[in-house]
Amino acid sequence: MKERILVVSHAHPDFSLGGAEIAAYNLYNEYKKHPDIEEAWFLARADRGRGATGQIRKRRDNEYLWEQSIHDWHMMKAVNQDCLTTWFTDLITALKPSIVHMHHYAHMGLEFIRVIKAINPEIRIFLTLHEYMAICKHNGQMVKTGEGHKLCSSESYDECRQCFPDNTAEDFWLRKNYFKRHFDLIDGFISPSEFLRQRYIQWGIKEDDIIVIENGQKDIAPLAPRLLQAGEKRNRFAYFGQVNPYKGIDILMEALRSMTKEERSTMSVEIHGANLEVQSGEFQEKVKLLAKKFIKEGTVRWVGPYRPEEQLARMKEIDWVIVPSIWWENSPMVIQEAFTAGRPLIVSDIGGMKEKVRDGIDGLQFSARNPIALASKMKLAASSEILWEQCVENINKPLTHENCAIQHLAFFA
Amino acid sequence: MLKLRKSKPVTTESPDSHVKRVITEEFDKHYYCETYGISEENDEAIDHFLTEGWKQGYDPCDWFSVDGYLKLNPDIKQSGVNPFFHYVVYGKHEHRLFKEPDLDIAGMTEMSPIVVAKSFANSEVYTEAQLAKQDAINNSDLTSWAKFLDGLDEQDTPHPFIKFNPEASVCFNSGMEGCITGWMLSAGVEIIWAEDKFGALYFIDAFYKYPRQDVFQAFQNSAIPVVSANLGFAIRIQNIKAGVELTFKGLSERGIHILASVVPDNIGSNPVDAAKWLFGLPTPMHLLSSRFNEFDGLIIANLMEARGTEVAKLPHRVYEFGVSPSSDVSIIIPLYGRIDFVESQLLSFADDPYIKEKAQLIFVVDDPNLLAPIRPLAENLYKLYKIPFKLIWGGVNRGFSGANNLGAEYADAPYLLFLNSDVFPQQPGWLESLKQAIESNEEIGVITPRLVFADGSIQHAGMTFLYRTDLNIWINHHPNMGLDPELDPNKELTFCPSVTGACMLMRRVDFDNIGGWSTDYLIGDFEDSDLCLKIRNTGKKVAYLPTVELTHLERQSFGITGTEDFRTKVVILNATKHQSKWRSLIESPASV
Repeated sequence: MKERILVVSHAHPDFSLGGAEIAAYNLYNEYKKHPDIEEAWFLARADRGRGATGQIRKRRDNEYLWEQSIHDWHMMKAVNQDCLTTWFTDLITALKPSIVHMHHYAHMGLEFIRVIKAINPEIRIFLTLHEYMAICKHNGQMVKTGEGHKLCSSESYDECRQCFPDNTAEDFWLRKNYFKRHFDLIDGFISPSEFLRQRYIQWGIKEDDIIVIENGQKDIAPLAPRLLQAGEKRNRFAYFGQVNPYKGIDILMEALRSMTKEERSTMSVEIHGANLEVQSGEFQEKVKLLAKKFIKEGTVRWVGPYRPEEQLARMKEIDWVIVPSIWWENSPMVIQEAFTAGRPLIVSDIGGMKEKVRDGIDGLQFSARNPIALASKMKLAASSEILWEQCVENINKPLTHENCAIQHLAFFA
Repeated sequence: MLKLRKSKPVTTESPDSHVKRVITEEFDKHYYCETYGISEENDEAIDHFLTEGWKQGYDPCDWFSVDGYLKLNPDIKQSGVNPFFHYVVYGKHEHRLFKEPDLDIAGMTEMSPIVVAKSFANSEVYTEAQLAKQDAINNSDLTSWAKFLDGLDEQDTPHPFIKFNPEASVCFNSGMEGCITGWMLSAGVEIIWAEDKFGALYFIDAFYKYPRQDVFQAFQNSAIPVVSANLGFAIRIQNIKAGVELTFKGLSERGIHILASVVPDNIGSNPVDAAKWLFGLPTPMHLLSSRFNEFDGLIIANLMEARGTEVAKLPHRVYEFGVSPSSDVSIIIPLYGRIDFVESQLLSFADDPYIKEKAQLIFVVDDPNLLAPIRPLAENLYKLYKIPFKLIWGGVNRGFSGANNLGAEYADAPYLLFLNSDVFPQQPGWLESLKQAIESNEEIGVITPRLVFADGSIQHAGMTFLYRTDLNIWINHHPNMGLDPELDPNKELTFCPSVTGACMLMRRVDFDNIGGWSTDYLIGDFEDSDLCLKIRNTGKKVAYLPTVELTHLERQSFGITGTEDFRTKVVILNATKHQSKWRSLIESPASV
């Protein structure tokens, strides 16, 4: 029997360009094309400027927007409860999916999982985990609250309470119990990285219930290497993505500062980043101040935000992609995108980054959060005659969208 | 405090003559002479009182007791001042007593309010009061109550077991309805009424109690025991006079006690203003429905009825643009808030041969702000589209129901289509299809098409009722809203519990039979389901026809009244009224 798949995402790429919603939407489009799929739909939470009305609206054929949001992030409770047993139920009843593939429950709440099973327990539910939200109340980052954004490698009721002193250890028991009971209703979990998978196994998901499937990428040939002028080296670095404290852009700026002016003059760094303006004043000031000096000097080019379809073109004129995140990450989309473009990376040596970029093989790792370590890897990359070619040669072609969907369908079966 | 002023008299008046002059007015010469056998000549009596009379305990008049004053105020006795002079000049203002309370009253004051209250409940006077009150209510005549009160003494002591504290008092429509709020402590059964200075008597028509934690806390140690925090009150009094002092009185075994006086402010006659004021009274959400049912709803309904009577007297203005054909269907479109929708509707009417040949078009201007811009617009649009229409202005905003009813007064066709100004046909023939469906089925009382949002998802595919246990009300619900119309479980004509009023076709005769749209819902809610239930109550069916589809830019012509919170309370108020009329039909889904 052919499957009918409803993909649920916490955002729609028409309005928001996070990695998770793009991955969800790409999968939806692949499911639609696949011969074993009878029909596929995409339901995305959206803010249409009128609050959490709970209403669902058609976006285009087979795509719906849902005005929902969270009022209790501790327990992940949805604002609009009425719609769960009315309009959301109407939608599930009308679509009759055999599979619901969720990406995220943030902004939507966990309740709808129970509602789907109540409508028809035969509907199988799969959840792709893009972060550590169930494990960590701190935006699912597994980074401590407070000064310094310290990394957190384990959760426990008492450790979590230290991050959130307003809550008791018992509050965290309640939280975990609530998440766990809802996760128990889910038929299978997908993690884009082994690192995240292990974290969730430690937390309580059964080993057999969670598999790793990397996010799919466009099925294209890598870009040609950047044309070098005579005597020029592979010395152009770029940063792609959000500019927020977890992404370590300040580490990159500090790395440049740790170099001498002469060292900096041997390289250039492009920042293709968005949302610096929405960050906290202190962080924004620090990054702006550092960047200002290097922009003036000619080392840094602040290119700014980009549309996903522009990214590939922007990679043409650079050699290396830097991912200096100070949190674990899961499977940063930019790593797969850089590999697709045939560009090696320099990444923090933790979590998903460490897993996805092999040190000295298809990129370089540096000691996370250490600007000096990053600086030395950048200097190495910019001066070596052979390193770049070697790394490029070792890049494995990333999983295509099509194969990603095939792997999912195999898991669902 | 005893205050013997030693200030110098401003004139050369001697202290003695000063005292004499001060008490002259209050001194009852006739009484004094009669009682103590003193000559009435000249000032003999008052001089006697001032020199020796008071020292012998002679009273200067029938109401003052020299002995009592000196006994109850030992400081005066000690000072040697004339007690009557002291009372008139100082003691009165210091609320000093000059008479020992009557023995039985003194005895009762020492008793606890609970005992007094219990004794009152078993007393003859209570039984008589109940009878007189009942008699007054039964005959709608307060004479028997006035007569009963005549036989009682007015006491100047506080009520022995009631503390009554009004905080705010208003009246609506110049006193037709009044509302007084505050708090009250009581140890027993209360007999409370109000009087004004013209002698008018008022019973309290409705008494709503609500929690007042602050009062509850403040009176924890009060002699009148407080058990629950339900100490706040709102009372309804009808036909009072704005700006005239209203005195509340309470009955005890001793007689009548003044509880408090208020001067109500006039809030005006608009029921919406009254609702805004009344909705400010604190009540937990789940109790609102019952409160509205027994309190606010009565006041608001009365004001709405009064307003309706006034509105009905207003003259209408009718502007005819062209002459409508003899028609099958009169299309009635109320205009409120926006008029840019008018041309978009005409665009599609102009393309529809059935509408051009068989429909009469009636726009009802229901918004005074549109009056100026609508006439030149209508003129231009008529010239451009050549579709005849009538434009009606009813003198005032009448609300959705009122405007529709007004339009119907000017409708000539055997069928009426009530259409919102933000509903737009997608292609010609829709009205003819709707009309054929109802014409061919006598059972159908009212029929509506499918409506979709601008993005194409379902806005209306029939309506149902949902019960909200937390609010104790039935609300209207649009099932399948937001879905692709292809997912509508209904593909053919279907009977529903209720349908939207945004686009509704019915026979003129049925419309008249049910008395048109109900105008007793505040601001606008539930009017469509109310109409559907009226139709169902006559045995006819409410139909949804999914094969006809129009676009509804919902909420763009309505929903601009008050805050979210006020809106919610209006919904509860209207839902309460709705279910008080239709509960049994709503709860019997089989009757669809």
